[in-house]
Amino acid sequence: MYKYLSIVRKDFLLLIRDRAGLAILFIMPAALVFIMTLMQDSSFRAVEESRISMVFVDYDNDIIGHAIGAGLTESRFFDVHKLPEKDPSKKKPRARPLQQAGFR
Amino acid sequence: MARHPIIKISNLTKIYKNSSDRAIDDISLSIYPGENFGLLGPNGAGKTTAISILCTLLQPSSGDVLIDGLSLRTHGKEIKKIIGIVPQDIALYLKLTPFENLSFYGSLYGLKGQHLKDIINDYCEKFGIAKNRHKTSELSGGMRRRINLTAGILHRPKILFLDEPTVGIDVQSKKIIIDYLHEINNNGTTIIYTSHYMEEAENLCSRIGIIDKGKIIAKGEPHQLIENNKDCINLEDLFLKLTGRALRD
Repeated sequence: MYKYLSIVRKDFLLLIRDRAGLAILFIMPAALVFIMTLMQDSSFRAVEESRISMVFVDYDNDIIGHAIGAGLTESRFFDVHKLPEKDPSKKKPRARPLQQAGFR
Repeated sequence: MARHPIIKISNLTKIYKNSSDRAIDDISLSIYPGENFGLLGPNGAGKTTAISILCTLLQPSSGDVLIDGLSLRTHGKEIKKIIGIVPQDIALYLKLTPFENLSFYGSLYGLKGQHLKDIINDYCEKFGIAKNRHKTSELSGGMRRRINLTAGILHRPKILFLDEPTVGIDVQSKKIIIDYLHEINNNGTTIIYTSHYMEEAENLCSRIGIIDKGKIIAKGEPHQLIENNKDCINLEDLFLKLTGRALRD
């Protein structure tokens, strides 16, 4: 046990006297974390700030359809354009003109 | 009564992986207690390989070595406790002070507390080592050599292996080291020593072995070997006669 303690003591002394080694051991990982955080933060912000335009046609018009619609509206990622409730007399999808206008 | 060898080498051979050459080629040799045995040879002759095997740092390809009656193949741990090694390259941590280095090596040999401090203080006084003032990196080559030697002898080993202990140091440091080796040899420590300094080996060693291409090509007392070769006036002449003048790798 005494031998192992001596080895630990020796390596500790070597470590604290090696400034370049200490810098590589502690400052480099800290710098890496800082740079990666900045990069990821800016990319997340870009995603959050650019809301996706979306047409939401609720043919279901029931509890599930309402829940999906509400969820999409509350989400920060989508700019939801809800179409009026379904009109069974019209077969042509009413979302087409909005889609052509840039909505997804 | 016949003396028993403290080191008995029997048909020792070492072939490195990916090599067909024999670094050590069927060497048999006995070294007796209290001897100061010099292993001399040109570069690449097999000196360091032989010393590394005797110090349990390398496994032989065949043959065996008995050190103080213990086989190298089966009693490596026990053998390490009775030998000291002073390597050719300085084996010190440059960012530690001499005292910290010596404390570390002493603790590896099982020394601790005030006993270890006393031993270190003794050697520092004897070898003129400034133990706490500077980091080892700030010390001269001669001082580092003296600390390197001290690290190998802290536990007062029965057998001491020295691989070119006086390379690159001034005359004063060399004299301190050689005088101390004489002193511990007179006190019973067996010394196995390699060097390229023939004059030093001639003065220090009671017996020498000249190794070349992995084989012992001559062994005996230095003055006897010189006398047996009438055209040689000193050990260097004999060495050149036996190993040739061609440059080695």
